[in-house]
Amino acid sequence: MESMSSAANRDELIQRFTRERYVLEGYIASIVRDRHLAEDVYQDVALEAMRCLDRYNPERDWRAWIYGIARNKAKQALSRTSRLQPLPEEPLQELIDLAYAEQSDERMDALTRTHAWLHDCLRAVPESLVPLIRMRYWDNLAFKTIGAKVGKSAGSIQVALSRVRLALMECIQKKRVAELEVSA
Amino acid sequence: MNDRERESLEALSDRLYDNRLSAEEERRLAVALADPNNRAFFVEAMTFQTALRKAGMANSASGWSEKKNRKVRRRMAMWPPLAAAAGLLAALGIGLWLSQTSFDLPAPQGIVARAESAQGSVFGVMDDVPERRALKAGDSILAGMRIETGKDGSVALAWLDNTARLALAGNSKLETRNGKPVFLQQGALTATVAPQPADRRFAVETPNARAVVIGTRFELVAATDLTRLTVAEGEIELTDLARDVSVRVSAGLGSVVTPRAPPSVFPMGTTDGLLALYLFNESRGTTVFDVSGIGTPVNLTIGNPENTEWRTNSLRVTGSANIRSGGDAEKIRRAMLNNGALTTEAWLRSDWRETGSHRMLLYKWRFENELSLTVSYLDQYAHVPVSELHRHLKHTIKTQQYGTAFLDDKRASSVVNLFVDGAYTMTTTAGKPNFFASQAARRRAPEYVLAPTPDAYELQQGVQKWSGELLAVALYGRELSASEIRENYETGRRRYDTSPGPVE
Repeated sequence: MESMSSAANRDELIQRFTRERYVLEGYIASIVRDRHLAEDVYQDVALEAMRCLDRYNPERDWRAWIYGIARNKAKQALSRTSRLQPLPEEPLQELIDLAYAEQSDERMDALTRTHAWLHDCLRAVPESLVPLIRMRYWDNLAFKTIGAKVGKSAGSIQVALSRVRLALMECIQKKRVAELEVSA
Repeated sequence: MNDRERESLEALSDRLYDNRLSAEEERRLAVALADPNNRAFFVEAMTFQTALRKAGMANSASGWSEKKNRKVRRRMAMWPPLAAAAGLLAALGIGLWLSQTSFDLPAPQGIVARAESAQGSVFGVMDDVPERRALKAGDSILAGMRIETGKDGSVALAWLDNTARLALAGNSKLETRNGKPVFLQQGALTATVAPQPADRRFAVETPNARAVVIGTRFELVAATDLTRLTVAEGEIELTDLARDVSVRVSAGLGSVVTPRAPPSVFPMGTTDGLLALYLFNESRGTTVFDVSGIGTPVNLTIGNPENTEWRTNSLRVTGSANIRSGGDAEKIRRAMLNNGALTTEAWLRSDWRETGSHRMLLYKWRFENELSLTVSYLDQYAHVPVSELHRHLKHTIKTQQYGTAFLDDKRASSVVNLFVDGAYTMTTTAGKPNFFASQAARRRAPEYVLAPTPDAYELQQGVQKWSGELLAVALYGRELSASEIRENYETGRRRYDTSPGPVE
C-alpha cells in the first residue's frame, strides 16, 4: 500500500483534517471545555499529525489515529492549564470517545457541512434574536450580563437561547436531509 | 429520543462546551450517553456548538451591540400581557420569543455577508455606537453594520446568498441595510453582482444617487456631492436622486451624478490609477469640475471665457482659453512623485478637419503648485518654465501617454510616448521641449499618423490657434499600457463619433 507520507496522501490528510475541523474541534472542546483552548489544541494536532505522518500506518483507521492525537494533545493542554479542571476519566470521557469512534464515515462527512448550513440558517433568525446570539456566542457574555442588557432574567435568556439553538439544529438537519436527497 | 431528551442533551452539550456542567449534570450526561442514539446526537450537537461559536466575529465585544440591545429591550417592554402573568413571566417570554423563531417565515436577515479578506485598517461599526471593532477575514457582516476602511485599508465582502461580491477601497464607508440597498456614504467600491429578478435587484445608494444593478461588474465612487459610476460588464440603472432622473450605463461606460448637471453617459475604460476626470458638461460658468471623486478635486478655471462656449456635454474653444487649476494640484503632483509617470487621455473634436473625436496628444500639463491646461496656442509649450519640481523629477520620470505632460525640462531624461486614436505614433525624449515643432522628432517617427492630417500638421508646427470642442479629459497617475490605451480608445470610439469626414 502506498505510504501516507507521499505527497498525495499528505494532501489527502490535510484535506480530511480541514474538512472535519468543526467535528474534531467539538471533540477537543468536550475534553478541554474552553473554546479558545480547543482552537489551540486543534492547531497542535495539525502540527503533530504532520510531524508523525511517516509513522502513520495506513491500514489503521484514520479517524482513530487523528482522534488519538487530539485526545493526547487535549490532555497535555489541560495539564498546562490550571484554571480548567480535567475531565474525569470515567465514565463520561470513555462515552464521549465512544460517541466519536462509532460514528460512520458517512455520518461524519455529513457533519462537516454543519458550519455552511448554519450560516444559511442564521440568516433566518429573527432580527430581535440576533443580538442574543451575538452577545452569548460571539461576544462571550454571561447570561446574567445579557439579561441585564436586555432587561430579562439570566434564566429566560438561557432557555430562549436553548430554543434558538434547537431550532438552528433542526434547520441544519433539514438542509442535511435535503442535500442527501438531492445527491441520492 | 423525544423532544425533551433532545433539548436536555443539547443544553448539556452547550454547558459542557463552556465548562459550566455541575457534577450532577456530568452524571446526567454520562447516563444519557449510554444510549447510542444520544451519542450520535451529542456528536452532532458538539459540532454545531463549534460552528455556532465560530460563526460570529471572534474579536467583537458587546460594546457595539448597545443599540441593538436597546431595540430588544424596547421590544420586550412591549409585552404587557406577559407582565400580567408575573409568575410565568420568564416562560411566557420564552414562548413569545419562540413564536418568532419559525425559520420557515421570511424573517429579516441577521447576517448578510462575510468578509473574504481584509487588509490594513478595516472596522465594523454598529448603528450609532462610536466604538469601532477591527474586521478580519472570515468575520460575519451583520445587517446594519457600517464598514469603514482607513487610508491603507481594503476589504472584500461576499454576500451569503452569492448575489454579490464587493471590494471596498481605502477611505470608504459602506453600510449594509436590512432589505434595502447598501449605502456607500463615501469612498469607492468595485462589485460583481449576479443577475437578479427585476423585483429583487441588488442596489447601491450614495448620498445623491442610486445604482440598481442589472447584473454586472462595476465601480462606484462617492465623494462630496458626487457619485461616479463605471461599468465593466452588464448594465446599471443610475438614478440622480435629487432630479429623479435615471440613465442606463452599460459596459465600458461611466456616469456622474452631481448637483451641477443631469447625469450623462460617457465612455470610461480603466479607472485604475485615475487621478482627475473632466467631462465638460457644466453647461455654464467658468469652472471645469474634476469629477473623478478621487481625493481633493482639482477643478479648473477658464481664464479666457470669451474664447469658449459651452455646448451640450462639451466646451468649445475658439482661442486661447487658459484653462488652469485655481489652486494646488497636490494629488497630481504627489502621484507623479510617487509613480514617476503620468498619462493624459483627451477626447476632442477639431474644427480643422471633420475627423470626429480623437484621443491625442494635445495638452501640456505644467506642474508647479498648480495644474494648467493650455489648449489654444501649442507653441506656448516652449515657454513653460523649468520648476524645482521638474528638476527633482528629472531622473525618475518616465511618462508614457497619449496626452502630454511637463517634460520641458531640458535636463530631464524623460520619455514621452504619443498615442493617437489608440495607436502608438511616436516617442520623444526630454531635451526636446517643443517636440511638436521638432523636425527631428518627425524624422524619427515617420509613421507619425498625425502628420498627413491638417490638424496634426498644425499642431506640430504650433503656428495656428487650435479650435474645437473638448469632450473629456482623464488623467492617470501611472503609465497605461498600449493594450489599455487601445481598449480605452475602442470603448470611447463606440460612443463618440470618430468617423473621418471629408478633407477640406
